[in-house]
Amino acid sequence: MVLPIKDNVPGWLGGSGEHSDVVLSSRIRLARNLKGYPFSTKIRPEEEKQILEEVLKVLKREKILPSMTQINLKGLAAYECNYLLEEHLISNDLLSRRRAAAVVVGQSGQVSMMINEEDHLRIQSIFSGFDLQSCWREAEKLESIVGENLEYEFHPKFGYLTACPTNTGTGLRASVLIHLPGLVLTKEIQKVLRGISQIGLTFRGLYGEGSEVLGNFFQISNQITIGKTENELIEHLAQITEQLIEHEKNARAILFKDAGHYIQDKVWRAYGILQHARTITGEEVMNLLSAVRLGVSMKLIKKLSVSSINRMLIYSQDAHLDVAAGKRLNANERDINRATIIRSFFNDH
Amino acid sequence: MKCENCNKNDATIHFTQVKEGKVVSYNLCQKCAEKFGMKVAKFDSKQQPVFTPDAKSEVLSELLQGKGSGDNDKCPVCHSTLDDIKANGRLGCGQCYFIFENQMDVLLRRIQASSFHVGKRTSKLDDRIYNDQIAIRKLKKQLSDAVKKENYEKAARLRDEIISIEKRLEVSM
Repeated sequence: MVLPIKDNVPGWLGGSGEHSDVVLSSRIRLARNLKGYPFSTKIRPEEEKQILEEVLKVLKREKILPSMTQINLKGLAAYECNYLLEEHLISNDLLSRRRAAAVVVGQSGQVSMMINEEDHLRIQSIFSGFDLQSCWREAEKLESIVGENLEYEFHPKFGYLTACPTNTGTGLRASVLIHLPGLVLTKEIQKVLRGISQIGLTFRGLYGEGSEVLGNFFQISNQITIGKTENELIEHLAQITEQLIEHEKNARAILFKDAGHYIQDKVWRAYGILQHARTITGEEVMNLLSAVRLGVSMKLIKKLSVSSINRMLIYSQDAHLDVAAGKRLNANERDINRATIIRSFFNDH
Repeated sequence: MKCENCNKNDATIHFTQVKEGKVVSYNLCQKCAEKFGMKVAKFDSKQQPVFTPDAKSEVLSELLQGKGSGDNDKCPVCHSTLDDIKANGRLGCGQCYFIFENQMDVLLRRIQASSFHVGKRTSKLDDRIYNDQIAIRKLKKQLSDAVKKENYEKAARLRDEIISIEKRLEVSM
C-alpha cells in the first residue's frame, strides 16, 4: 500500500514559530477512553472494530474526515508504520496493536488522533517552534467535538480515566522537542536535567519513552497529569522551557566567546562530512546535523535554514529511506542511501 | 524526604516509571541510585551519565503492594481483580476506578502527588461538582490557617460550611 501522506511535509518541521532555533516543536496529547468499552488490556477484537467504526462515523458526521486523512495500520508494511512513527504521528504502542488501530491525520499533521492505542483515543497536536498554546487549542477542539458525540470515561474525582494511572486526570501530556547543544558542550546539561526531574517534568530522546538522547535533542514533558488544570500543566512546562531557552542561548554565547575556533571547527567538520560521506549511520547523521544546526542558528552557516536541517533530521531516518526506496532496505543499503540524500541536499544548497 | 533505601541522605532522585507493566516510583539519594545500577543516558561519552526516567532497575518495584489485596473484589464489568491490575499495571475498564476507588486514590496520590482532578470536565453537572470541590479545597486551607491562629470560632464556621458542601456533593455523585 502507498502511504496517503507520503509526500506531505509535516508542519512541525517547518522551523517557524517562536524560538524555533532552539525549540523544534511543541506537542500536546490527550488520552481519552469511550464509555461502554473495556480498556485496551481487556478489549476484544470486535469491540476494537466497533470503536473504530463509531469514531469514524462521528468524524464523518462532523465533516472532519474528508479534511483529515484516515490511515489503517493493518494494511501497511512494517516500514510504512515506522515512517508514521518517525513523523511522530503514531506511537510504538499503536504499532503493537495493528489489528484495529488507525490514525487520522489533519493537514500537515498538526492535529491527529490515534484510535485503539493504549487508550481508545489519543488526540495530539504538534506545532513548529515553541507554541504549546496552539497545540492545546487544536487538540482540545478535536477532543470536544468527539466528546459532544461520544461519552468519555470520567470519574467525578479522578477526572478522565485512562488505562494507566500515570495518565489519569487530564490525560494530558505536553512536551517540547528542544535542541540543547550549548548546554551539552558547556557540561551544564546534567545539572539542568537533574533539576527538571525534581520539578515534575521528565526528559526523553527524540522518539519518546525509552529512546536514546541523540544529537542533543531532548523531549521535555510533564510527568504529572492530575491535581493541576490543563493550563497550569502547560504553563509550568512553558515557563521551564523559557528558562531552558535562555540558558541555552547564554551557553551558546559563552561558547562562541571563549571557544569560537573550537566550535567553528566542530560545525564545519560536521558540514564537511555530511557533504562528502558515501555511507553514514543514522546516529552519526543525527550528531552531525546537530552541530550543523547549531552553526545555522548561530549564523555561521548562512545558506541553510533551520527548517531544512529539521527536515533532513527526519528524512534521513531509516523508515523514511525505506519509503523513498519503496521497500525495506538492509542496514548497508540504508547507510548508502542516507549518505546520498544528505550529500545531494548539502551540495544543492 | 529521605532516601527510601538508606534512610540517611536526602532523596534527590524521584521518578515514576512503568516497568514491565508495573508502575514504580523511586525516591533515592544519588549514591543509592548509582549503587542499584540504574541505567543512564549517555549523550556525550566524555560526560558523566545522567539518570533517565526510563531507568531499568530491580529496586523498589513494590509499588501497588498495598496491604496485599486479600480481598476478592472483582470488577463486575471486566472481571479484573486488584491482583490483575497490579500484574498489568493497567486497569481493565473505567468501572475499575469506581470499584477500587480507595486503592486508586492511594495509588494516584503516591505516583502523581494528587488524586483530585481539577481540569476540564465532561458536563454541566460535573462543572457544579468541580466548583464545589474547588470551594472545599479553599475552605480546608482557610480552616487549617484558622486552627493555626487558634481562631476556633472561625474554624467551626468553616468546618460547618465544608460539611454542608460535602453533603451536597454526596447527593450529586
